[in-house]
Amino acid sequence: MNDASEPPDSSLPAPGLDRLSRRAFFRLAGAGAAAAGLAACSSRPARNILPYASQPPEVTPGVPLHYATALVEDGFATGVLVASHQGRPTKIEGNPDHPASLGATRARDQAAVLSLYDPQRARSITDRGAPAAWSAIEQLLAGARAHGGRGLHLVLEPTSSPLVIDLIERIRTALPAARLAFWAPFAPRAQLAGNRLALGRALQTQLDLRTADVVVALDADLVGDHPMALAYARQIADRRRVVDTSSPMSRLYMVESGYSPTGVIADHRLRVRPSEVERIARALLAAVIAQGGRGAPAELGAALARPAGEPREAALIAAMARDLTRAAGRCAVAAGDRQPPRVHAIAAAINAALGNLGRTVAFSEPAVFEAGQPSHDVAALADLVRAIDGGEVTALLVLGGNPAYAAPADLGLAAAIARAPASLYLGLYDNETARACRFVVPGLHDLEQWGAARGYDGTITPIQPLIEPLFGGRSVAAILHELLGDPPATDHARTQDAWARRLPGVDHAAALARGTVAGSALPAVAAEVAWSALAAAIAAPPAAAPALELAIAPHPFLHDGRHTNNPWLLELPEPATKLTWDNAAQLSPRTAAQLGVDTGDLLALTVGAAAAARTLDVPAVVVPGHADDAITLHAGFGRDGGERVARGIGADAFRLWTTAGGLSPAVTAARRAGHRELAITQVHWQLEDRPIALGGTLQQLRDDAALRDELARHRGPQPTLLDRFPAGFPTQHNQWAMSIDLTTCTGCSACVMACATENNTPVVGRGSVLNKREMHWLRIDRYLEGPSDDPVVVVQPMTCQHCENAPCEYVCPVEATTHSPDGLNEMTYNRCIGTRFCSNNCPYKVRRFNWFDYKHRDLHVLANNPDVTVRDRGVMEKCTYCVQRIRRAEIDARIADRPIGAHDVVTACQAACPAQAIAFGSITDPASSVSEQRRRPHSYAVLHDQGTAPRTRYLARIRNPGQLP
Amino acid sequence: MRLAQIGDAPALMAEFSSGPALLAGIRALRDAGVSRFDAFTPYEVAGLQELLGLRRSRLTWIALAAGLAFGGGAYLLQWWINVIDYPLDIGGRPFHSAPAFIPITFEMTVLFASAAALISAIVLGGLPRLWHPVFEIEGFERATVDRFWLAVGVGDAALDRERDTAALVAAGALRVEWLGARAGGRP
Amino acid sequence: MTAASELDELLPGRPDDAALSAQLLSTTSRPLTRGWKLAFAICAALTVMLFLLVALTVLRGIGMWGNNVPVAWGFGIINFVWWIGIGHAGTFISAILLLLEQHWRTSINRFTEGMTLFAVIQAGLFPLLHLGRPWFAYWLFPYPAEMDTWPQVRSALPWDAAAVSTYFTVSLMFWYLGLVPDFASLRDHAPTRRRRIAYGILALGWRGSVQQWRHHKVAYFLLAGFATPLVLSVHSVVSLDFAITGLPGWHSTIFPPFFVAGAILSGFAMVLVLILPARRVFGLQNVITPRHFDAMAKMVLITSWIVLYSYACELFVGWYSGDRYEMYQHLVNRPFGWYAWSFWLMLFCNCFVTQVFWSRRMRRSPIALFAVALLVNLGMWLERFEIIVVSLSRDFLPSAWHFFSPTWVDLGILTGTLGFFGLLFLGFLRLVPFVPVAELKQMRSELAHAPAAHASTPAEVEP
Repeated sequence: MNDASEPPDSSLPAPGLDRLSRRAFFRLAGAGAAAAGLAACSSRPARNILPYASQPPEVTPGVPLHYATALVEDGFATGVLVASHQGRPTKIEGNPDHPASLGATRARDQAAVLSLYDPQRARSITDRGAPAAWSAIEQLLAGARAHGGRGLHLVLEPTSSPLVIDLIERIRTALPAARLAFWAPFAPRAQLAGNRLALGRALQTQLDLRTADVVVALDADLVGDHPMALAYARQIADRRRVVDTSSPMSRLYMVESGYSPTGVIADHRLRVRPSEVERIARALLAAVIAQGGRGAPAELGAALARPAGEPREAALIAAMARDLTRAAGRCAVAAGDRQPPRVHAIAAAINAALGNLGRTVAFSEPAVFEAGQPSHDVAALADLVRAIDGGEVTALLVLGGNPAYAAPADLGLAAAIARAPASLYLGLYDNETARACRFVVPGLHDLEQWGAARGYDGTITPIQPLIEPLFGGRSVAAILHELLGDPPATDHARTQDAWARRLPGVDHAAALARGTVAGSALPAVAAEVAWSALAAAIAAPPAAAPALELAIAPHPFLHDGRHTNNPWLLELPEPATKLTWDNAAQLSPRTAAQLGVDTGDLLALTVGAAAAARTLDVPAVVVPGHADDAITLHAGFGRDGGERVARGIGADAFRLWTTAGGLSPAVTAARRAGHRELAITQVHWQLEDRPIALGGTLQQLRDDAALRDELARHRGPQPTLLDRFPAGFPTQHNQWAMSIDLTTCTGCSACVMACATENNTPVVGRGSVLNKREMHWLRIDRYLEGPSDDPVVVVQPMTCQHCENAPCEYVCPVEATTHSPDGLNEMTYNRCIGTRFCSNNCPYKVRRFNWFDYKHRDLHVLANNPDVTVRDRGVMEKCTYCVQRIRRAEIDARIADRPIGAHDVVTACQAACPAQAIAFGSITDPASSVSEQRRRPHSYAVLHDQGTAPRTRYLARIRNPGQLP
Repeated sequence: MRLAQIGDAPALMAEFSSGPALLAGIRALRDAGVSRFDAFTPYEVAGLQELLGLRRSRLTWIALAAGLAFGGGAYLLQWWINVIDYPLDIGGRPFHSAPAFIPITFEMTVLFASAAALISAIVLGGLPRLWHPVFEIEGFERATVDRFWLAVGVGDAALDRERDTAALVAAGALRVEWLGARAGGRP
Repeated sequence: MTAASELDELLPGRPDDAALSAQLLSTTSRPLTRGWKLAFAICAALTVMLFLLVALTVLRGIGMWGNNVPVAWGFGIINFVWWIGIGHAGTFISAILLLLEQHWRTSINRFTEGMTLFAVIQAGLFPLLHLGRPWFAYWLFPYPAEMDTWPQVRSALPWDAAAVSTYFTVSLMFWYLGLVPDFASLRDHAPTRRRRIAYGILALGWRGSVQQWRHHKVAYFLLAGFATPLVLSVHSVVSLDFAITGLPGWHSTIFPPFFVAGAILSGFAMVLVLILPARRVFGLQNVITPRHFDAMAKMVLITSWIVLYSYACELFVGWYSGDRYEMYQHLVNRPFGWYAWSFWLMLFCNCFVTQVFWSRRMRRSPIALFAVALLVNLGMWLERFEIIVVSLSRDFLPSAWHFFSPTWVDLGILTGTLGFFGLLFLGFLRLVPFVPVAELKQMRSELAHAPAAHASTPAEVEP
């Protein structure tokens, strides 16, 4: 018996309190309209925010008004364009002009609109939970202002905003005694410290992979988890895209424990525990120096211990060194931020020894204010706790973030905050920190506020509101202004004022229109590796690896837990495990066998010894390809704040985070009685020798006719008795088609989220996912090839293939799914009676059925795309090739009296993809990228042998492994 | 000689204990020149129809006609829907997908042929008619169990009371009822 | 055998017409036994539960069932095919055996026709209920709509709708036509006036005149003739619901005959399950005799061999096709996959236990017949589970494979239909003479006066 009969929204907040009345809807939409400058009787922001002016044709989105702004995370801005329907932001696209986006988005960026409309956001100022007046806050801040701010402590999120920095510096001068700490659990710290070791200064590494022929990633998830991931994914993809048999292709080495998106596209992947990466790095440095690394003292190479690793590891290191040396100056070595500073220092050294500095690798000042300084360290929080206990704290202001949850557990920060005499929290939710503080002031969502932030490369990105604050929140700036006792002014006025002072000569309006300040990236800083200092720093060999180690990693979608109340992200399958609505201890098959657990069995993880021991019960999930003797556990779960969706889901990894152990502590694991059914959307991982995800090596594609013939067998015409279209059927000029490149796809799932936001696909909840009822129109299939302990992973975006001879169509008894003259397989929702015969006859199983009434009931309805029907209970639905965007483009073309351009239609998934792995267009237009890609030698159709003639074609997954000596 | 269509009360009714006895009775009267016969039996008596010289029922042809008409209609409707009225590209199949139209055509043929057969059986049998004069004859209720009744229609010139009564009794009639004039022919 | 000896086997003691009528008509009027009342109460309760669960499904959504996306059809369609199959024996016995002049059919044909009708009623519930939006089911039928929307007749579902409704209607007409003469005898002999009026109306004023018998006979044989291809067509069309798809395990040309054989197997099994108790309760040992059992057991044995042959064909074709999906489905998934237990249990029930009917003793032993019949019904349900759930759970893309498990609503509805079926059947046993009296008497007289025995029974004509 399964629990399919539990209501669809069982794990979602019950509708009711948050039910949105028609009246309320119009009030909000009206406010939004004003904000978007559409309403004639324009209110405040109407005069000031400007539509995105220069739209490059290839990204002309299908919706009327787009505004450039930014989403900020750990201080780093990602430039986005937000689609606004009559003042209601509904869809987020990347800003092609922004260096940290290049037009793409991450999954969690896509989901931001749902967070904006989250009915559980903090709505009013409270004093210990009771409603309070702003005057109370004014008193608190006035008191804090007294005698130079002594006893005043502030905890802020890392910020790169020139405007906030301006305020901070004014506070530093006006209230010299005030103490500031900047906290975000996963803010990059090790890199800056590592560069300080190697270069003598805490500099930020800036990679430029456009010219990198060889990339070695030392536990660095460059395309998945990095402030610059979107840009790096694009740069790596551009060097690996196979056009014909003579295409060059870069080579990517990955050294990691978990299976990251970077590991998925890597040509060689070495699975080692986090603590072993340093050994690999040292060996690599030694090998590079031995092969004549320039400027590096030979004795350093000699000093570094040779690796005692197993043969394959040694061979891989040798191969890396060989390829790097051959590509000296055209290669890059990157270290991930989970690695200690020493590894970053070694990476810098290797890059220096290869002459990459100034070519593929550059250094800049940190984009984030005071990054790398003590105010960003755990120590700053420890000091705060000590200060509170020492009674030195009279007022504590926590502005943003959630330190009471996302900080080393042994600090006891939550308890300490609760002990502070006066405390204020400014944030979006009534979360753990809010509950520890006395006063809570509703914060502002990124889409509600004015401001600015720097991208990872330093590019200044203006932020403008898309809608009036839904719950009348206040910005960090507003609080700081109040703290400084400034005369009251609107956020916009303050922003303009500060902008004028901090960025003289930079036109705010122009910046808003473009979404970036051109040329504001931080300049490269000339830096040399101080070899002797480095040698001293890394002289001591790395500590012996513990028997079993834990890696507490940011969740790919929830990051540090800030998005855990977002159902879209909770139901988005985690790329490595396809796990939804949970986190689990990822471990390798061998380690699982040693611990006697299988997927779903409970493990007790213990960190620390005796009195200081902290234990956490988590279900295990077996991940083939994970490093042995290591466990990866994602953070962001086990929340116990006031967010009803997030509350009680999964286990809180941060409870195993101690100041001593850090984020990769030694851990002991024991089988626990009990089992938890995990809502994993894929249960079978082998290809069973079926022509689904084809692939080969670049070498084979060039020299091996067998592979080319194999691929050719899976495309092209097949014997049939039927005409392409029934005789006499009117066919239009455009025949739409899609092409998906498995070589560059990393499985990051941004497309899946983009599809869900664009097409109003509902969230069904954990119970329904358990019974395979998730509603995503686009899914990322993950197949494992090769040995089960160290497989090669192929990821394959799978959605409606829009078959020309669609099996779903001829079995529908009521003509609810039919073919359009422009080659789309169309669903007529209103005609569907729900026999589900079409789903049974779909070889790709991409059709989704509304088993219950899944429609939004609360404020979330505002996130719906008005161009797409919201489906009712009992009807089938599936990918439409974003037909609403196609029709919009057709209408625009007709109005402009021109044919539809080759790039006029961009589907939601295509727009979001950082690797540009998805192409869409008409196959009747030879200039379209789809036509071009279908001509490539490795283009094929999935299940071509079924004669369905799919319109969606795939480019086979081509890898470029090197010879292992 | 033809079958009497006895709309109301017959002139003569005779009760027999078995089918063969009934047949004997009919033969006896027929030899006497009586022609307007009918019979009421609990089940079909072998040889009775032949004796009364009835041809096979026309019902078969009615059913055939109905079947062909509605079957053809069903196919035409499917063709018209898919080719004339609203042609659609369904999985790239031809508009006129003849093989797919067969099953419904067949089913409609059978359905309406059967309906025609049932209805004509009822109507041609003079049904429904809940009451009939013969029900008034005492003992007739056994006609649905184990008695076989012979009837002669009113106005058969050849009828002769004494002679026919004797003939029927000789043939094994348990009872002879002369209707209209109620005076009994009981021996 | 001679007509006379056959008569002795089919009607031991050759009761005369009056005795036969008295015995067979009395089933409608004799006092209710406690057992009957208890059974009726249980069935009524289950029926109430069925309709409550139906209401729940319609109110909350089809998600109350266990179906998911690879397995979009589950218990609903399994039960549909299973009940339809059970419905087959009725028409088979009454129509085909009538045309083949199998006298032994006469005593049980109405009984089995009743079973047919009630089974098809159960089956008919499911195509409706399993829809996402049942209230639009009428869209499967052609009607002049404003938007010129018509059913899509390339799909097997409209065929199904036509086939099942035709089958039900024709079976009902055939059944009623046969009943009219017996309603007439009940009109004349039922104990109370109210019953006489009721039966009188049903009898339409039948008086057994030459004309009425003449047309009745032709119509009865015509309907039998029409019903015969129907028996073969209905389950063939049902099988096309699967056969027209491309799904490994469905995409198979042997489905129509395979399904029909399976249907008749399950049908005869269900007849045995029902008739053995009824015969005992109503003391019809002289009308329903070991001879009947023997014949039905032989049918079970034959059809079980046809079914076994079909299984073998599926396996062989699966292998011989060389098609990787077919091979996986038939050679890996079904025998050794997640649901291997159902495959082997199905083989045991449908093909193994039936072999006991090689023995004449078993063919005539009520206990053995009853036990085997129950197992065969279980096995035939599992066969549909095998075809529908197991095939769907692993089709083309391994990434989409997933298990199916039923919810309590699924199980409740299946049980509920058993109760509803029982309710209708118990009512039928009470209100209608379930052995065709007129036909039986006619058979008796025909056999008695058959040429061989004709001269030997002059007494028959004596007063």
